[in-house]
Amino acid sequence: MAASALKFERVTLVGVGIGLLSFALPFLTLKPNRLVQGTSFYVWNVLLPHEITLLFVPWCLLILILLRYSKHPSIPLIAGATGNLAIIVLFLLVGQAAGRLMQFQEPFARVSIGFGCWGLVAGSYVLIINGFQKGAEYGILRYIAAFWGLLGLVVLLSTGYLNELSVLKEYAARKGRFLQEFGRHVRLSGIAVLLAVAIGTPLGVWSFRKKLLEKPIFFLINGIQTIPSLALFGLLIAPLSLLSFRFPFLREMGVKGIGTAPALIALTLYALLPITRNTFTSLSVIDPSILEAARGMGMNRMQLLLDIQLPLSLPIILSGIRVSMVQAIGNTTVAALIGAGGFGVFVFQGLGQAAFDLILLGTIPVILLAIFTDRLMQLLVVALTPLGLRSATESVR
Amino acid sequence: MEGLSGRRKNLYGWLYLFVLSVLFLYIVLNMELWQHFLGFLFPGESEHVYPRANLLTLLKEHVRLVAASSAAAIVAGVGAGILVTRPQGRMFLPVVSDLSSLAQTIPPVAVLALAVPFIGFGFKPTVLALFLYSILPVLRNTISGIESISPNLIEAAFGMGMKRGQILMRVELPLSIRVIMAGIRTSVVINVGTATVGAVVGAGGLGTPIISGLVRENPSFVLEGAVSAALLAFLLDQLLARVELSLFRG
Amino acid sequence: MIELRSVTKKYGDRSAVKDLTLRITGGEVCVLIGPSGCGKSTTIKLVNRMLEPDEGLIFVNGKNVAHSRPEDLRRRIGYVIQYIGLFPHMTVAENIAVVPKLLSWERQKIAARVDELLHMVGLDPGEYREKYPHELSGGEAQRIGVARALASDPPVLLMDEPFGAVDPLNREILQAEFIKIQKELKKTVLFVTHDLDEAIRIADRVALMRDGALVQHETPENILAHPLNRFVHDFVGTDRALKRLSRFSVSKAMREGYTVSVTEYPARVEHMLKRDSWIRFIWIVDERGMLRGWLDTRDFVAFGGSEEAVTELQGARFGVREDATLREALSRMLAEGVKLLPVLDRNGRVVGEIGLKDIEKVTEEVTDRWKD
Repeated sequence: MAASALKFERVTLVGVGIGLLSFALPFLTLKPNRLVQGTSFYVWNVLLPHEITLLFVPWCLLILILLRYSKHPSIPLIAGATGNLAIIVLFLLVGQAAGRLMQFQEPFARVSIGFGCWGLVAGSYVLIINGFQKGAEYGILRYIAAFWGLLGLVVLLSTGYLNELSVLKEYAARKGRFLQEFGRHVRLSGIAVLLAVAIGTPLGVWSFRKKLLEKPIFFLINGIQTIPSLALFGLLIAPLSLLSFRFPFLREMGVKGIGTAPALIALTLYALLPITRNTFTSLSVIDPSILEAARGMGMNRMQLLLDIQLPLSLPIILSGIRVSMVQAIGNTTVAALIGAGGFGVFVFQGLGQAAFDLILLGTIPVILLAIFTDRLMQLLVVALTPLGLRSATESVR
Repeated sequence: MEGLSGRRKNLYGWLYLFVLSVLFLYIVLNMELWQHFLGFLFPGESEHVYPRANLLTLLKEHVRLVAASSAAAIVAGVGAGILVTRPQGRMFLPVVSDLSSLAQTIPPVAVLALAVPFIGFGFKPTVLALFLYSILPVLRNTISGIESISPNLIEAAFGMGMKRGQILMRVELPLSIRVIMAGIRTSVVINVGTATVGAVVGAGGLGTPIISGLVRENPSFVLEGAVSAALLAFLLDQLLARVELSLFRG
Repeated sequence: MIELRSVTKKYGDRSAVKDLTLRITGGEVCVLIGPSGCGKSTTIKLVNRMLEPDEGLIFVNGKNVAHSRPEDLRRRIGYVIQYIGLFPHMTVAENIAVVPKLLSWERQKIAARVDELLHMVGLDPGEYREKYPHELSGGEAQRIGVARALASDPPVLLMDEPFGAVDPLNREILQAEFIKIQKELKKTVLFVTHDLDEAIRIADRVALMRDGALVQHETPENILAHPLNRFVHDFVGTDRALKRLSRFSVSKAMREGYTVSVTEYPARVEHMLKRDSWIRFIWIVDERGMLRGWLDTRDFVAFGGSEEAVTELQGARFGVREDATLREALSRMLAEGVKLLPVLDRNGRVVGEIGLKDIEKVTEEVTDRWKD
C-alpha cells in the first residue's frame, strides 16, 4: 500500500516531508528589541508535551493516510483538509507559545515566527493547493475542505489570539495608519485599472479595426512596459509639478508633483498592456464565418461590435483585466516611494529601520490582496461568460 | 525584403543587431551627449549627469544583475516546465503552477526587503528577488508550449522507436522552442526594468541614478537611468528576437 | 428575381467575374457551378453587396441593389454559408430571431415564427429552442442555418455551398428537405455548389461558369443532353446520360401494364390472349392490387394454363415506385437482370410497367455533337 502511495501521491508525500522536516527548525524567535538578533526557540523549548503531540496529530493522520493508501480520487482533498487542520493547530499553539515567551519580557521585546513555522505553513500550503486542484469533482465541497483552515485563521486573528506576535504588535502600534494605507492602496490600483479599461478597450478595438494602427499602438504600449516602474513614477514628477505650478486649479484638486497623481498615471499606463492586448487578441480569434454570417444578415458595424464581437470576446478581455489588477496591486507597492501611500509605506519604513516584521506588515497584505483579487476575478470571468461559451472555457484553475 | 534568400535575411538581421549594439554603446559612453540632452530638457537643475558613478559601470552592474537572475530563471523555469510535463512529474503541475503565480504576486520590492535581513544587502537579495519574479513567464510558456504538442506526434515518435529522452530533445523541445523563447523574451525585458529596484538595497545598476534623482528631486538623474534601462531592454529584446528567428530556421 | 447585367469584379489584374449577365426568374432555383476559381462564390457575394462590383448593375426584384443601404438589402435576403456561422453565445431561438429583431418585429410574432421555422426544418421546437450551437450536430446546425436565413421570410435566398461541410448521408437528407421546403415556399434561390450531383438534384436551372464567365445556363436535362462545348462536356462527365436519368420520374415514362387478379386466373388470361395475342408479360395481383407474381405468356401456353406457369414473388420486393427516378429504375433492372419492371404506387399496388425501351427513349435525346 505504501509503495503505491510513493507512486501516485508524490505531491502529498512532498508536502508531508516538508512539514515533518520543519519540526527540526526553529519554531519562534525572541528578540529583546527590534534591532538585535534574536534567540531561536524550538518546538520542544516552548511547548508542553501534550501540545507537541497535538501539533503532530495532523501530520500523523497524513502519514496514516499515506501508509494505508488506496488510490481513491478523494485522497488529495482529504490531505488538503488535513493540511487545514495542521494550520489551525499550528497557529493555536503559536499563540500559546508566543504568549508564554512574552510573559516575562519588556514591552519592546519581539516574538516572530521562525523558519520551522514557515516550513509547516509551506507543507500545508502544498497539501491544500494540491487538494483543491485535484478535487474538482467535489463541487462546493472542495472549497470547504480546502479552505476551512483559513477561515479558522481569520477567526483567530480577529479574536486577538495571536496578538503577541511581532507582526501584530507592529500592526497594533499603527492600526489607524494601516487602514489608511489599505484604503489608499486599493483606491490607487482600482482606479488605475478602471482608467486602463476605459482607455485600453477602445484602443484594442481600434487596433483591430485598422491594421495600420496595430503596430504603432502596441509598440507604444510595449514600450511603456520596458520603462522601470520606479523611473516612470519619477519621470512624471517633473512635468506634473510644472503643470500644478502653472495651473492653480490642478493644485486645488490635489494634483501635485509627487503623490497620487504621478502614481495613478504611471499605474494606469502599466495596466494598459494586458487589457489592450487581450481585447485585440479576443477580437482576432472570433471565427470569421460568424462575422460573415452576421454581416450577410444585415448587421451594421455597431451592431456587429455590440451584439457579436464584444460578447464573444468578453471572457478573454476579463482575463486581461484580471492580470492587470493583480499586477497593479504589486506595482502600487513601489508608489509609496514617491509619497502616494499604500502598503509600500510599511515595506520601505521597515527597510529603513531594519525591522523585519514591519516589512512583513507591508508585504503580507499585498500578497493576500493580490490572491483575493485574482480568485474573485476568476469567479467573475466564469460568471460573466455567456452561457453558450461556457463548455469551451470550463475550468477554474 | 521580399525575394532575398533566407541566408541573406539572416545576415542582414545580425548586421542590424550589430549596428544597434554599437549605437547603444556609443550613446552610453558618450557623456557629453547626455549632458547636452539632459541639460536641454532640465535647464533648471544644477547637475545633469549622475556624478557618483560612471554610466558604463552602472550598466555593467545592471547587466550582471539581469544576466544572473535571468539565467537562473531560465534554467529553473524551463527545467521545472519539462519536469512537470513528464508523466512522472505531471501530478506536480497544479502545485508548481500555483507556486509560480504566487511568486509573481509578491512585488519584487517586498521580496528584496524580506531577503535583506537574511542575505544582506546588495547583489544577492536582488538576484533572488528578480529570480522569483522572472520565473513565471518562462515556466508558463514552457508548460503551454510542450502541452500544445499533439499527442499523436509523440505517439508517432514512440512508434518510430524513440526513447523518452530522445523525444524530449528531438521532438518536444524543438517544436515548443518558439513559445519558450517568447516567454524568455518577456521575462528578460521585464527583468531589466525590475532590476532598477535593486538600487534601493544598494545593488547598484541603473536604478541608482533613478533613486538618487527621486531623493534629490532631480529629474535629469531619473531620466538618465530610465532611458538607459529602456534602451538596454530594447536592445536585449531585439537580440532575443534574432535568436528566436535563427532557432526557428534551425 | 435576380438579375446581373454585365457585372465585372476585379482583383488587381485578375477578373474574378467578367462581364457576367445572368437572369434568374422568381421562384426558380438557379445553381451556380464550376471549377474552383470560376467566380461562383464571388457572384453570390455581389448580389448582397458583401462585395462591390467594379462594373455592371445588379437588380433584386427590380430594384438596383446599389440604391439601398447594404444592411437594409441584406435583411431582405436570406444568406446561408458553408460553415453556417451560428452565434455561439446565443441559443437556437435567439440565432433564428436575429433578423426579425433587426426589423423590429414584436416579440410574440418572433417567437411564433421561430417555432414555425423549427418545424419546417424538421426539428422539435420544444427540444431545440433553448439549445446552444455547441450542443448541435453538424446536420442540425445546418438546418438551423437555413431556418435562420428564412426567418424574415425573404423572397430571395443566397446559399453558398450550404451542405458542403456535412457528411454525404446527411447531405442527401438535407437536399431532399430543401427540395420539399422549396416546393412549399417557392423562393428565388441562387445556390452555389461544386457537387454536380447536388446541382442536378435540386436545380431548376444550372449556370455553369468558368474563369468568371457564364458558359451555359439551362435546365439540367438540357445541359446533360446538349453540352455546349468541350468544357461543358468534360465537366458533366461521360456518364451524363445516366446522370440525366435522375431528372425524370418513372411516372413520366411508364406505360399501362396488364394485370390479372389471382382469383381470375387462368380464365382472364385466356381471354386477354385471345384478344391481344402479342401480350408477353402479365402481372398477377391480389384483391387489393398488390403484386403477387408474374406470368410469361409463353409459359402459360407451355404449361397448359396451370398455376405452375406463374412465377411467384419470393418475399423480396420487386418493381419500382412511380415517384422514383428513371435512374433508379435502370439500376433495378440491372440488379434483377430484367428488362421490364412493374410500377407500384405508394401503397404497393401495381399501376403500370416500365421497360428498358422506355428508358432508351429518354436517353436518345442525349447528343454527342457540340458546337465548338
